[in-house]
Amino acid sequence: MKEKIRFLFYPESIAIIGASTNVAKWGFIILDNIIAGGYKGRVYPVNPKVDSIFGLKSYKRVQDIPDEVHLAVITIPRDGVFEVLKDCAEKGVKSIMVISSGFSEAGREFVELENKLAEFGREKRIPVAGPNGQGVFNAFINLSATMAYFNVKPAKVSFVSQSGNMGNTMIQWAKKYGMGFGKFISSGNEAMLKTEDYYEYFENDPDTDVVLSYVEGVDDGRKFFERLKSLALKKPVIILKGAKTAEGKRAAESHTGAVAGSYDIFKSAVKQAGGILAENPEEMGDLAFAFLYQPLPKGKRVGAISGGGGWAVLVADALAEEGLELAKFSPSLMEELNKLLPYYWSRNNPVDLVAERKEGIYQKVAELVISEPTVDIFMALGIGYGYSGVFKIDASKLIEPEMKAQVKNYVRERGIGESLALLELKEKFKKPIIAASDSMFAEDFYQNESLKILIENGIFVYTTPQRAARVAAKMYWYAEYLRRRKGKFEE
Amino acid sequence: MKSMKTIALSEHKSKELLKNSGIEIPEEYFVKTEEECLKFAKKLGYPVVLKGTGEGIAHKTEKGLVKVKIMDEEGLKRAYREILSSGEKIEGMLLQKFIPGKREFIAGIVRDQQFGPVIMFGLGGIFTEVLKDVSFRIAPIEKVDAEEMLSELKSAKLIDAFRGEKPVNKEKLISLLVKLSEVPFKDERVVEIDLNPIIPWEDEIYIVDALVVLKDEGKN
Repeated sequence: MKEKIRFLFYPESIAIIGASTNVAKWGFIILDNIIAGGYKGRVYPVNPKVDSIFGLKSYKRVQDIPDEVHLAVITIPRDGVFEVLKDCAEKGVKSIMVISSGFSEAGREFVELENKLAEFGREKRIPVAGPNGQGVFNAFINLSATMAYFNVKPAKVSFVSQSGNMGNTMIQWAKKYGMGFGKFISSGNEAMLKTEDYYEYFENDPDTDVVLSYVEGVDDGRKFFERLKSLALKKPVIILKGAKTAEGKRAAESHTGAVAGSYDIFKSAVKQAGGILAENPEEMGDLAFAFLYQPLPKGKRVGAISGGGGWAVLVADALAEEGLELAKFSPSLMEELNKLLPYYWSRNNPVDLVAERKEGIYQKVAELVISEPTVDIFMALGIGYGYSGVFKIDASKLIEPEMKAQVKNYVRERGIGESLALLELKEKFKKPIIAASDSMFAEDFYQNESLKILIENGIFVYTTPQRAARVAAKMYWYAEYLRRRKGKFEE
Repeated sequence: MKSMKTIALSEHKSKELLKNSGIEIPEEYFVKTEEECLKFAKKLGYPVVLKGTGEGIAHKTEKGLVKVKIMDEEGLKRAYREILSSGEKIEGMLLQKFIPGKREFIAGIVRDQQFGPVIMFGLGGIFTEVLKDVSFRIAPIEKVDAEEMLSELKSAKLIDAFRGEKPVNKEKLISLLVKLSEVPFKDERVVEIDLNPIIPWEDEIYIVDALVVLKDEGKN
């Protein structure tokens, strides 16, 4: 079955069963998005009532399509679904996504119907996603068989979500911040294919390096646990849990029972299996970006530089709170730093470059700190320096108009120079570089080329030291998890 | 949700079951007379602990059925008589060596609806349910999981040297947790287990009290 799941993500031909010209219907939305997305395969609308839809030939039944069908997307109302499923089986459709709603989510009386859907898939050996899903997306083949249309650069991030709109959330995040995105499947009610089935598929998918998962509940905890454990040994899996506060009801006679909340146990199971928990969608994005583009740290010692005192203090606090350590600097490093920095510098890690920083100093200090053997993680704060100055220059009454262009260009070049240097250091030292800057709060942050260059080349810039520290801590946690199990599981 | 019928074993029977699953239980005697009690106390050496037990008697401490740090024969006689006159249906008494360690931990098993048997380890004693400084893992666990359980407690420092007491024998504690995590697979009837408190002392880990709850497969 897991080989067949490939047809859901990489179909060469798709039938839209329930294709429609009514723009308010799923049968229109999905078809429209598939075409708008520039899907490279063949698309076949199926609708018994019409002969063509927007100039595409429409088929009465899926069996009439004169081609193999790799994926059938079913959008018709619930009561017609089983009839159509029979057609799909007869046609030999390779995989099915059921968008149609009104199954178990509509009430207990429809649970049986949902079970029948699962039985159908198992009996005919066809992978069935959904029902009540929002579709499937794969940037690698420009496939947007989803409610929303996404034009995002492909990246090796795959997301299985028990909620459709969480997919929109994360893909929008990924697009806004230039991370890119790979696959997204809205697993819906998971009648047949469960979150853990997609884990199994992603484990061997060469286009997946990082897995995201939004989970509200699991049917078979053990299976979920085992599949997650197997996947997490190969690829980082970032999990966001919904319905945390719904406590499982348990009549307990022991203390153990009395303190065991269902979310506590879920959390522990995820940790034990090597999954990384995100507390909210933003953190999920923060983590996905870092795991996708940064190497794992070898330890928990952080070397940090900042462009101001407050941030240096905040990052030190945040690192301590997250269980990371500030690296000890060797006397020779301190000597080098003393030569570079003004006499009143803090003489400490984090290195505060102080506000008035000399040209080229950021690069030099960054290289000294990142090359220090005791530094496992490098934190670059205060990057994107000076850009706000560009606007100040425009407003200035003192700088002469003809000088303004020159000054602006100087500021711009300096910012870009610092960013390019960081990217080089990332390649050279193979240590994670976690950046944070208040410049990310600027309303036009993306016009700041120094930030843009970093983000588009794999160094995300977080808005606060806390966000950055949390990402660093979770990367360290995962690296440790793998290290502790390596002897046993090394491939 | 259908609730399952369960039966809570007495401390003595709980410990027997655990012993049969390979868990080390400190030497103790189930005594039914004062004479027996005095005899075995001599064998164990003072100070001792005496606990009244019987079918369905929970919360022994609150009912005054636990007498700790009994220093001599005189004290033991007094304790024995006090427990007998408690008004509870005492079937016998457990005589144990008094473990002077100040640190108390708790370990247990619970069956989760989604994940099945789950093992818990944490800070024990009277504040367990208030502080909830505990960690869980899906059972059975491996050594590496047990190590992570210990390190993830907020009070993880209690495992190191503490107020003049030696560091907890981690290896023994970890091996106890691994074995405990296997119990519900060896005995399918096990629904819940509490080892509470577990007191480390010198190089040993003492399970001072235990409660095993079984599925009641009896007469229904």
